[in-house]
Amino acid sequence: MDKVRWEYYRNVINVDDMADVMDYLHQKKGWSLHDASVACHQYKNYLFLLAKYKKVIPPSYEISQAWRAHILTEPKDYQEMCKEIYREKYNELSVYKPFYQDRKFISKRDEENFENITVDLFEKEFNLQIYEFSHQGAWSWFIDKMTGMFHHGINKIIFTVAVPFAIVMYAGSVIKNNELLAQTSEKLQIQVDRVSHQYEDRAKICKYTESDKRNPNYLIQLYDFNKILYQYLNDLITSYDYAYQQGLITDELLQEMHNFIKKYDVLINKYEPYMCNAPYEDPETAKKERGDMIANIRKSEEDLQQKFFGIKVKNTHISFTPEGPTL
Amino acid sequence: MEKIKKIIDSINMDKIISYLQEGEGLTYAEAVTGSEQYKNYLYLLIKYESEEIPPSYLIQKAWEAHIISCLDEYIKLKKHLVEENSDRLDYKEYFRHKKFITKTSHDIYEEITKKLYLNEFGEKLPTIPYLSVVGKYKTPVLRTTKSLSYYFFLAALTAVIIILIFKR
Repeated sequence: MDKVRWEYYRNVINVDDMADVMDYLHQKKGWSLHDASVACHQYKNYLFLLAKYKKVIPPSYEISQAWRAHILTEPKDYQEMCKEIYREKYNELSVYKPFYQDRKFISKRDEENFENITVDLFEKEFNLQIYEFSHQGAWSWFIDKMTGMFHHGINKIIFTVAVPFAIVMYAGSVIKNNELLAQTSEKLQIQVDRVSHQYEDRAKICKYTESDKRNPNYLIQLYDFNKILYQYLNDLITSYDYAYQQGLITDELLQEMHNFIKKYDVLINKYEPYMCNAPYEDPETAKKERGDMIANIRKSEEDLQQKFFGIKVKNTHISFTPEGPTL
Repeated sequence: MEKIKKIIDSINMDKIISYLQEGEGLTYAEAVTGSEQYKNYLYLLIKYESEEIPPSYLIQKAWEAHIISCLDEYIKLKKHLVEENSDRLDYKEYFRHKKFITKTSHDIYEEITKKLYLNEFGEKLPTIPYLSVVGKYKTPVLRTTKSLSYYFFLAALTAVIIILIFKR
């Protein structure tokens, strides 16, 4: 019984694709798409923990930012989702509490609870280590400082120091590029894993909703999950673009992937109006159209799977090992 | 507009003020000023429905605080003030590092918001700069790749080390 309930909570949480939240964190807060998507993923897990354990647990800084962004960008959706998953505890759990100031816990107790409870629960429930984007934190701090300086006219001093040491800069760039090659392969691997993970989630949902054929939300859910998937694929493509710039991927392969994504985009756009206003007046026609649509989407997904996971790259130190999801 | 004014005046600011103090680290005086200016700002948003009116930094913080700390009340307030599908009171983020993200919103703030606020309430809003290109995040995935700041930092560090060596 509990298992069904947890599955239900997961479904309710996953209905929101968090596109606006990601957009907010990326565009307005200046986070990378990768960091924004990881934060959203962790935030969803965090919501699930709140719903399951029905008690307030301190979030990580990144989760708290995603939480805040969610309330600000989609207040109504957030409210509805909270009512659905927290029920009688809605008033207690849905209210965002300011746990952090300048990236540090305001209260010592919250910090201890975070270390002892939140981290443990993430490991226990999701087998995931909750981590801070330490690289991003340090980097953002540095960027903040630089930005502040530039506004106060210290830019002249920086340039005076920088120009005579252009040679040192060049040497630095060479070292940095070598590090980047290693980083790129690591990040691409993370992106591929995430897409694979999304497939698995989606497959579970399909299975879940298919068991109830009368469920009129089936198409809409299917559409929502395709949208999420599409978002992640876009991320993946951005990564591949970067890898291509670094000379890790061949021209043909990149072009092929772009074409494929376009095809997928066209497919989603084609069915969007139908999915949003799913016409259920004529059951026979609806059934037929639904069948065609699902067949098309599945075929497209199979192709995508083959393309992305059967990928060949020029540079040997990138290996794409995921076997791919089974739908 | 009288009715609108009354509805806005009836907003309970206690939670907002307390959030601004606890969550944003503002002083009590700043939090009170921010929340008062925010009420006025809401009035402007409703009155000049077709204008884009970027808020000041303090107003933006109070707006955030209102949505975050009193979400249910905010949604109810929206129902009272605007039509159901209107996005007039939807939160929009204008700031990063306490500066306007775009030059356009900075210019509109200077030309429209400040003028309207002065005309309506007889108060001047502060001038706020916009974020320069430096420091903005450009590369979409791996931000550390092409930032010149990294090399500047490296250069400055090396300079300091070399100067120290030569001084000895």
